[in-house]
Amino acid sequence: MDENKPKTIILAVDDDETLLDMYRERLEQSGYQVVTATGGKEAIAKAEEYMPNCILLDILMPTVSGYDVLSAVRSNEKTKNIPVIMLTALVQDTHKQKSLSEGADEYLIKSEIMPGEVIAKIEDVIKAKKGK
Amino acid sequence: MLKNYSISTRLSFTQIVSIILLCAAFFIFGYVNVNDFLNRDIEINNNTTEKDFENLVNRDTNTLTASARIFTSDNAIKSVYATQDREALYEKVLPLYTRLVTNNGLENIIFIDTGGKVFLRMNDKNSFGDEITRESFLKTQKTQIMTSGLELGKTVFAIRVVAPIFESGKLLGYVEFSEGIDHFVEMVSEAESTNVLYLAEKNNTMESDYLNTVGKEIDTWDKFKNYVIVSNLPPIEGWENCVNEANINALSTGSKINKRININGKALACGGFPVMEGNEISGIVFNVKNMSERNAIAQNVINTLAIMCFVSVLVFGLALYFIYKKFLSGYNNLVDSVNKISEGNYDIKIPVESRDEVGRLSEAVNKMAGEIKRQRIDMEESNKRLILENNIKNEFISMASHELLTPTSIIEGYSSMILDDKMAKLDNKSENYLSKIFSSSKRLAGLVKEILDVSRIEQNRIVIKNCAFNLIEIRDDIGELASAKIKNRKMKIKLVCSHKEIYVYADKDKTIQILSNLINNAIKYSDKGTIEIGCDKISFKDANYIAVHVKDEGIGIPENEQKQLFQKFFRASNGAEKCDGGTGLGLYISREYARLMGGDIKVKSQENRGSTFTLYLKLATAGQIKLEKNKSNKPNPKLLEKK
Repeated sequence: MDENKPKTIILAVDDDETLLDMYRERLEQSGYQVVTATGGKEAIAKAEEYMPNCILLDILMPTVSGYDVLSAVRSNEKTKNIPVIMLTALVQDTHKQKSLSEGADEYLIKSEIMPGEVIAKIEDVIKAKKGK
Repeated sequence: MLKNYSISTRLSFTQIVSIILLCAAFFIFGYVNVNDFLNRDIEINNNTTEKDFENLVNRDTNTLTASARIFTSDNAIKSVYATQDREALYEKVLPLYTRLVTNNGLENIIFIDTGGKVFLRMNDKNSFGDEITRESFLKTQKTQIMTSGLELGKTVFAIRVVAPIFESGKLLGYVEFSEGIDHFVEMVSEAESTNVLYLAEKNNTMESDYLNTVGKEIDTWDKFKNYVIVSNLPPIEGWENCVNEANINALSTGSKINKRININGKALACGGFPVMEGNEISGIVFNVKNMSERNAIAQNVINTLAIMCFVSVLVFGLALYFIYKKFLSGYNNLVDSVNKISEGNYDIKIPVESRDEVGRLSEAVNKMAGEIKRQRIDMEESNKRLILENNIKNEFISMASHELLTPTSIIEGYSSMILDDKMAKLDNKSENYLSKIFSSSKRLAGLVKEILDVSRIEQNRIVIKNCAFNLIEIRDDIGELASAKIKNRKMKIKLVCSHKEIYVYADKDKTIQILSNLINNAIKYSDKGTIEIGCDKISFKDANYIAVHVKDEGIGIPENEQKQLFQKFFRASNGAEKCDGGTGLGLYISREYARLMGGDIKVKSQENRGSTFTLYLKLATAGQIKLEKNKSNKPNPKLLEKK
């Protein structure tokens, strides 16, 4: 990676800090700049503040859920084009449907996908957005 | 449901029969009594009034064959006798007349049997001796009279009954009842006297000459005013006039007269005879039948009976109707209510209006309904509680599973990161341990997902999204998966399917899940051999299916365990040591999914020889395929947005 090139910023959102640490470590290894949020409110604020290139978003979080974050991001003129990848423990198809219809670009299930594979997905999503 | 309302028809049938029987009984009773009344003998004596006599006259004279009436000069009734019994008449009339003669000093008396054949004998010495006097007549015994014979001309008349006629103490003649009527004409002409007898009977063989004579003589009634006239004449023209001219009271009745005259505005059938007093006719006893009155009375009687019958039918019928209506309305209410109760309406309260069978039954049913309702409520409450508890359990499992997935994914994540990290420089042992951590956490995640599936199946929260898709498309995915699994084993996978495309109507993800499960099992329970995956189109119950079979040559399943195979947490006994921590949920989930998609899973197995699991899926119809192709041809806005 080129040191001078502005780093791609990833906003990782999950209420589980260990999981966040894991992704931060793995993403930073791959040269991304990682911003984390442990709650929905914080996520919405940081999305606007950091304008990340991609958001990794958990769904099940206390008080403000991933869905709330998704709709807030999509309804904000500034952040509405940021690619969002749902990364959740919810295995049901209905959640996948809902997420995609509400503007998520990808739906990944924790434990089915390894951090290494997540990076590939992030790159795909960012590429797809840019190519548009 | 109680459908037996036929009791109402049965009751009305009973009702009708009862009414008919009652009416019949009523009618017979009435008829017998009226008839008895009509036919009863009545003896009228000196105390009998005109009214009594009228009543007598008004009686049915079809059977009242004879009657007699005696008038005195002041027209008071002295005695009347009437009976329906001719023999009785003979027995009673003669003594009566005799008594009348004695007691009342009547000298001219005629007795007539209007039903018999009657004629008058004048001064007949043959019957009663040379001088028939009052005394001698009175001494005459009935038996003698009855056995007397009369020779007149060459004909012998059998004399039956005799009544004397007196004039100033002297017997002028007498009336006889004879059967030798054929010769009457002859007798009359021989008599050549002023004492003339007239007698005729409708059916008799009297010559018309005689009838003419009769008419003539009647026309000159005055000439005959001293005469005794005995007649059972069929009414002939002029008779009525004669009667009127003679200023005679015409009463009494007779039989066998089939013409009518009209006296005092009444239609009367008549015959009759006069009663002489001295040389004067003091009256005539007519055998008169007041037909109209009689008929009217008969009609009255019949009408009365009819009305009584009708009224009794009405009263009895109404009574029955109301009794049964009350009973039946209670009964029908009861049936309706029981039906409603059986339909689940336990709030029905049957009104208890009586203490009869229906009332008691109603009470019992009310009590029963109350009891059922109470139990039902209890049951529903406990059911609700159970459902709630089950939901809480499922919810808990669901939440717990989700919560488990995050840490599991962290274990997986970190172990995969170390394993992937080429800089990590792990020794073999560490790498081996780490691989085990990784695969175990992966399995743990799989188990958690299976438990989640089961809990969603039980909550009916599985969403099946059937669509038409080509089964061949997923062949590669499945094949890849299978090949990866058998990497280090002496096994082969053989795909046997000649079809280029098989459009099934099913949930694609679930189908992959099911087939993966079946293939995983086949691999898991085989050490070696070939796993054959194939498909055949079949028809079953008007629908077309594809049968996808996964056939292994593994350990198989004992026959007695095959039925339980698809139950939750069931694991075949012979596969226990093979089982590397499986939950026994895979086949249960697979079959539930297959059934939710409109298909099924069947198994055929022989222990130690292998098993064949067959997944049946519905083939897509042409319409479903077309719909699906149209859908995929349409540009997807989302896809466009992404590109």
